[in-house]
Amino acid sequence: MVATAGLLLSALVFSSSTAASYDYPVQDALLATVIGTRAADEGPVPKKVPTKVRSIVRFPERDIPDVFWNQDEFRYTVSAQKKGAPLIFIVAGTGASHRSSKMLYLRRLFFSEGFHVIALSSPTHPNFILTASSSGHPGYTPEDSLDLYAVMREAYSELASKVSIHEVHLTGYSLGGTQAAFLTAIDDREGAFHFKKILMINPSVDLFASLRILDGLFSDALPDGAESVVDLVERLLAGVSAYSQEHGLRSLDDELLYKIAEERIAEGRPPKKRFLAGLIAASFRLSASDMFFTVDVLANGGHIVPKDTKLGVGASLEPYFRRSMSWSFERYFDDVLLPYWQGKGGDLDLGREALIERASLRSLAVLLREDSRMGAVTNADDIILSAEDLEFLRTNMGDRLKVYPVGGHCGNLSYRENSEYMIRYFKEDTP
Amino acid sequence: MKNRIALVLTLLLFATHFGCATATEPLPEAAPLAGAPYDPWEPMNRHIYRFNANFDKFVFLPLVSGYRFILPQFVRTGVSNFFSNIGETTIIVNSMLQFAPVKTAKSVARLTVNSTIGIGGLFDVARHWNLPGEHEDFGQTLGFYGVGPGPYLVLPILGPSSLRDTSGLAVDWAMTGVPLLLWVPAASPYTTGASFLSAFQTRDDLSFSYGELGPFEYLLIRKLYLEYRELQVAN
Repeated sequence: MVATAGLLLSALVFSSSTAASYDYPVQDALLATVIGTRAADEGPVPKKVPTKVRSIVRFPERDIPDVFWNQDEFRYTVSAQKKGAPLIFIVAGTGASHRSSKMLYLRRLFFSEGFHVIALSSPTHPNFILTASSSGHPGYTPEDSLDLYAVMREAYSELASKVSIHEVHLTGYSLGGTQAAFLTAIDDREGAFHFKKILMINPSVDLFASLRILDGLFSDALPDGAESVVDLVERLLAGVSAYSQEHGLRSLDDELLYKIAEERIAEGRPPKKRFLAGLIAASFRLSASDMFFTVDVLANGGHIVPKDTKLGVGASLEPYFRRSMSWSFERYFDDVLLPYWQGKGGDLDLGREALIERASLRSLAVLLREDSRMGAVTNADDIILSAEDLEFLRTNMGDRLKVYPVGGHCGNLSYRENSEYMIRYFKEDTP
Repeated sequence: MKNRIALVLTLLLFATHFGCATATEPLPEAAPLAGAPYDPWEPMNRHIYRFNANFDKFVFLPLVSGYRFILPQFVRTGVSNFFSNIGETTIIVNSMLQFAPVKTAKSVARLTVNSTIGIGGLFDVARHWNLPGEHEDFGQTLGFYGVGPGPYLVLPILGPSSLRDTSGLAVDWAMTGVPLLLWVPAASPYTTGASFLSAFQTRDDLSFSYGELGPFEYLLIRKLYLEYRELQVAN
C-alpha cells in the first residue's frame, strides 16, 4: 500500500518518459532548482579538460581591505584548444564564481566541442567586486556589464597572444544571461568582439523583480528569519545524517540531495514545497550576504560593519555574517545601491523605477527583437520569471527562444538534451 | 541557484550561525551564540588559515602541478592506492577500538587482498570486489568514547582540525609510521621522498581551492569540518 503510493508519487514527481518531447525527470520546479540533474542524465562531457586560472590586476592603485587578503587580483578560468578555434565567453549567475559547478559543466561541454572557453565570475561575486568593479556597487546591470566588457577585453588579448581565435561567442546563465544581452549592446557600440552568436540561459528579465521573488521566498518559507533558517538546516542535517547512517558516508557526494529526494519520494514522503523554497531562499541569501558585506567594507559604508572599523586578518566575522544574512536584496537596493547611483548624479540620477527599468531586459526589447544572433533558453516553470516576463521573451524573440516545459531555474542546464541544443545553437549557422 | 554541492555544504555549515539574529538586528557587538562552534583561538587560527592559503598558492599547488605533469594518471592512482593501503592498518586498529567487527573484517580483507594481489597496495583490487575503503581514525575513536571536539584548530599546512582530532592524528601517525618503516628504510632519502609523494598525492586528490567561498569562507569551512566530523563519529 505504502509502496504503491510511493511509486505513484514517484511517477508524479520524477516522471519516467511519458511525454515524447522532453524527458528531464524532475517535474516540480522547486525540486528541479534544488537537485538539478544527476550525472547519468548529463551530456557526455569529459571529466577533466585543460584548465588555467588566470588573473588580471585592473585597479593596481585600489586599496583592498586586509580582511580580503586573498582577493588581490581578478581571477578567471581559461580552457584553450591547442590550435585556432572559436572562442566562447561564459558569464556566471548571481553571486557565482568562474569555478561554480554550472560554469565547470559549461566549460567542459564547450571545450569538448572544440571551443576555446573563458569563464568569468559574476560582477556580484566578491572577487569581481573587489578587483574589477569600477563602482564597487554591483547590482545595476548596465554598469556591471561595462566592467565585464573591460575584463573580457583583457582576457581576450591574453588568449589571442597565445593561440588563434576564429570568432567569438557569448553565453551566460541566470543573471549572466541577462548580462549577455547588455554585453551585446555594448559590443555593438565598441566593436571589440563582434559576437557571432549569443545565448542567454535562464536569464532574468527584470533583475529586481526576480530578486524580489527570492526575497519573497525567504520571508514566506522562513518567516522567522534566523530562527527558521536554524530549523531548516537542522532538518536538512537530520536528513543527511539519517541517509549516511543507512548508506555510509561515501554516499555524501554531489548527488546527495538528488538521492535523498529520490528515496523519500519512493517512500511516499516527498520533500515539502516549503522546505525546498527555504533551501533556495537560504542558499541565495548566503551568496547575497557575501555581496552585501563586500560592498559595505570596500566602501566603508557603515551599514553592515561600523564605519572605520579596521578588520584585520584575525578578526572574527561572525557578527557581520549574521547581519549580512538578515539583509534582503530590496534593502540593499534602497539603502545602498540607489543612494550611490543617485549621489553620482549625471546620467544615472534617475528615480527608483527608471533605474529598475533601465536594468531590465525590457530596455533592450528592440535588440532582442531585431538581432538574429541572439537566442535564449528557459523553462516554462522557471521560478525567477513571471508570466509577463516569459511572454515578453516570447513576443520579442519568437523562435529564437526555446522554452522547456520543466526544469525550474537552471535545474536542467546540464541535462543531455539541453546540452545538445546549446551545442547545435553555436555550431549551426542559423539559429 | 548555487551549485548543488555548495548548497549542501553551505547549508550543512551555517546551522548555528543564526541563534540570535532577529528582525531587530542585534548590533555586531552582540554576545556569542549558544551552540556556535567553540573557537577560542580564532585570531591565531585565522592567521594560520591565511598562511595555509598562501602556502597552497605559492608552494603546494605549483609543486603538485609539476608532480601531475611528470607522473601520468595511472601512476598517481597507484601512489594514492599505495598510501591508502598503508593507512589501512590505522582503520583496522580504530575499528577494533570502536568494537566494529564488520568494518574491521572488511579492512583486514582489503589490506590482505591489496597487499598481495594488488602488488603491495599499488592496485585497489578490493574495491572491485565490493570492498570499498572505510574511514576510521583515532579522532573518531576518541569521539566514540565520548570525547568532544574541544577547541577548533587550524593546523599549519594540514588545515582544519580540533584539539581532539589533532591528538588523534598524532596517534594515527605513530601507527602508520611503523608499517611504513617496514617498506622504506628509515632516515633515507626514500622516507623524505615518500612523505613528499604522499603530501602531493593528498593535495592532488583534493579539489578545494582557497578564496572561492567568499569573505565568510573561514566560518563556512569551520562549520563544515565540525559537522562532517560529527557525522563521521556517528557512523
